[in-house]
Amino acid sequence: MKMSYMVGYGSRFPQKIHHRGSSVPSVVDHPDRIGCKDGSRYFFSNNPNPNLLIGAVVGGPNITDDFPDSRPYFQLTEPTTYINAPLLGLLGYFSAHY
Amino acid sequence: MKNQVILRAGDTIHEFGWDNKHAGINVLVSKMVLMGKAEYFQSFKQNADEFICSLLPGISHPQVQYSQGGLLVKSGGSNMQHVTSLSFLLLTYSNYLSHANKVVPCGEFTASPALLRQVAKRQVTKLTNIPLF
Repeated sequence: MKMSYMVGYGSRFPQKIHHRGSSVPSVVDHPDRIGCKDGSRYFFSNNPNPNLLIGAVVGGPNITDDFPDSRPYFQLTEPTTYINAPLLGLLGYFSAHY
Repeated sequence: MKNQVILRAGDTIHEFGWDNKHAGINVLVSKMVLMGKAEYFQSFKQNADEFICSLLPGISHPQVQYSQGGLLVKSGGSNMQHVTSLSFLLLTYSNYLSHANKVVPCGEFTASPALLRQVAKRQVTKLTNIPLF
C-alpha cells in the first residue's frame, strides 16, 4: 500500500505492468520485428517498462495489501478494461461534484 | 418479474464484474422503483439494498472484506475490478436515492446517499493514493 495503482499518478506507481505494448521497446527504439515469443525477455526483465501507459489501473493488491511489482503476477499487475471502465464514471462524477 | 427469474438476478446478488452482472441489474431496475414507476419490481430493490449494505465498512459480511489499508477486497483475482465496479454501483445507487429522497435500511441502521458516495470516493482515493478531489 501507500502507493498509487494508476500508472503515471502519485509518487509511487506500478513500473512493471503486465502489458505487451508497455513492456516491449517501441518501434523507434527497436525497428526490428519482435516475434510473439520474443517478448519473453521483456516479460522476465527486472527493468521498468520503457513505455508508460499513463492512466492505466492494474489489478492491485488483495487482503494482505502486498503488491509485488512484477509482470508474472499478472492478476496484480495487469491493466484491464473491466477495471478501468467503471472508474471513468466515478472520476467523471467526482471531478464535476467535489 | 418473470425476467428476474430468467436472469436469475436474485441468485448471486453480490456479484458485479466480468463474469456476472447481477448486482448491476438489481441496482439499475431499482431506479424504476425509487422513481415510483414500477412498484412490482420491489424485489429487485430488496436485492440491491442487501447488496449495498454488504459493501459498507463496519458491517461484517462474508462476501466483502476490507484490507488493513482500507481497500475493498472480494474473492477472485484482479481485485481492483471489485474496487472500481462496486464503487461505481455505490455512487449510482447514491444518486438514485438522492433524487428519491430515500435511504437504505441496513439492519439496525440506515445508510444515507451521502454515506454511499463517501465510501465510493474513499476507494477511488485509495486507488490513486493522491487526493484527487
